[in-house]
Amino acid sequence: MTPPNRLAACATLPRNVLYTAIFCTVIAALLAAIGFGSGFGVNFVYSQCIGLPACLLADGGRRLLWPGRRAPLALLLPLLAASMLFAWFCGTWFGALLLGHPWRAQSYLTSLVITAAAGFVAVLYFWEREKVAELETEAALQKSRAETVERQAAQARLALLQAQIEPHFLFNTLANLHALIGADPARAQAMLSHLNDFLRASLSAARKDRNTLAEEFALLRDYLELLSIRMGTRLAFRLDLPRELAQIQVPPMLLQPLVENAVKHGLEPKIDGGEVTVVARREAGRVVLQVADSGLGFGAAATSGTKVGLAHLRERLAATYGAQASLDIADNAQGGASVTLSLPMPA
Amino acid sequence: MNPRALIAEDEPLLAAQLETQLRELWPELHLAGLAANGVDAMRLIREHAPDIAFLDIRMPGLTGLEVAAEIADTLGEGERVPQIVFVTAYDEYALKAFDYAAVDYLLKPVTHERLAATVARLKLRLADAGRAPAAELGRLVAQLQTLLPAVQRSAQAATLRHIRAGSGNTVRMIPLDEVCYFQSTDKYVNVVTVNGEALVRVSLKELLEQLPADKFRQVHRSVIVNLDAVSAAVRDDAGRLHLQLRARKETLPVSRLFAELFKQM
Repeated sequence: MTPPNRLAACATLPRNVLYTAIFCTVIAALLAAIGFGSGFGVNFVYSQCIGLPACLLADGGRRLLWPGRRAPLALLLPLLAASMLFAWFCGTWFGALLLGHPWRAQSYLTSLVITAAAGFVAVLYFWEREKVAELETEAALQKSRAETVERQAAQARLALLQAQIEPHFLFNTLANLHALIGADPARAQAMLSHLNDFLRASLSAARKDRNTLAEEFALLRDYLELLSIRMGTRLAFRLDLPRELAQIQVPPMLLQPLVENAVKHGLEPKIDGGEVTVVARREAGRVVLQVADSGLGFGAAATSGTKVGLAHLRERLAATYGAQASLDIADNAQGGASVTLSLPMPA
Repeated sequence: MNPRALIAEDEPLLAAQLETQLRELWPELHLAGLAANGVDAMRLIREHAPDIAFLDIRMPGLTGLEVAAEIADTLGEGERVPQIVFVTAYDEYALKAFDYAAVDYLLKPVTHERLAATVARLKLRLADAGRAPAAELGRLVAQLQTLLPAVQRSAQAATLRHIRAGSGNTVRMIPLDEVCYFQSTDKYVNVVTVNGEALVRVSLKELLEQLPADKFRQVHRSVIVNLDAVSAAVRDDAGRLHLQLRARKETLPVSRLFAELFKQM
């Protein structure tokens, strides 16, 4: 909602004044038709003289006092009553002046009743209109909110995809393939098939809601095989998925960003390299997934940028498991970093 | 004498491929060493003083750019500058920057034709370089100034107002005005004020991004200085700049890459 602005709140006031003028004309005509007063002309002058200030005071007043929001009823009702009484007094007096009638309160008492009745009808009418308009605004707002959520989801999928197929990773892998094709065609073919499987899994993950842990670990194996061809003896890895947990479902590409971080920030910048281990285990009725490395550790890594990735992962966990999942990061005792996810066991 | 080259590349297959390709294209070229990381590269360059260094940009230890900066800094005046060819898999460093200056670059995978063009260029330049080492050094410095992000700092949102340095249960709040300089050590950055020191666990690079650029400047690979704390810049006999401080006795080294900050008006 935009902050209330008194001027903007009065934008539709002229329209309501016009409606009031038409309403007053109709009343004057109706009264003339039933033979009240001294004909349409006189009724017209009086009804406008009363109706227009009543509308300006009541509608304008509420807009100025409560810009952009609904007025509290306990204050609105006195405002309406006072506006009408005042408008009746001024209107009859001014009308009498215009028409050259003498003004006496007693002779205008009937018109006070008419003013009150007409005012009541007008207030009901405007009240209803406002409610309809509010409902429409609310519906439009909800629609745009839904669209925003959808767009954010699409952007998240795109970001996920881009994060997985990081250009540096892709180009370095291709450069290594290029080197292997001449030197060792058999290994080149093996590497190409890992790349093929990894890309296929990455692309399909962006369209899926769930992966089994078996699929996740297969994807990690392809990814780590590619990295270990590149890094040679500097990278060792170990994947440990017990058979009983293989069919557990998790959000796709849940662990890959953690493995990527471990290599990119922990092992790649470390001169001697090291090992990444990914372990799944059952612990007190929960699924625990741990990605650990023997790299530089969180504190010492000169490369920054893990925070965004971890924040993104936390959001995904919250979206899937609510408060039931946790993510803990720690420096390993033997140096290096470890990230532990604890997820509820599916029923 | 046959020219000598060093290859610094952390991915073994790519190092082997470049070596094979160079042997085919330039049989007279002697391979002075293979380095698998930036630190080894620097050591081998010091030991063997090769004529040419092929430097991968992303390496553990020191990046290729940092190795080149270190070379530019540690060379004495009149010493021969190795020809540097950067090698990268992905053009994150806006390869245009390499085009303008004379140092060559190679994009991985390195093709036979592209490497042949580089070899031809290197042969020409080696014939030239022996004559004007000072000009070669100036060229390398200018090149690195366009490539190293720390040198071409733009005005950005400086968010930091205090340095929060922890010691035991206390976190000390040090206003930026009181900081004379920051110096990176092994794992920490040392925050030096008029009357004391404190350690913080961030990298110099992260710190630099959050400091106001008009006041705090990097002057060396391991030093960011508060310009208000500097009283003078003095050139020594070897042609290197050192900063004297108003409130501290020690002097700070200035890298050749940042020397322009202290040129007289």
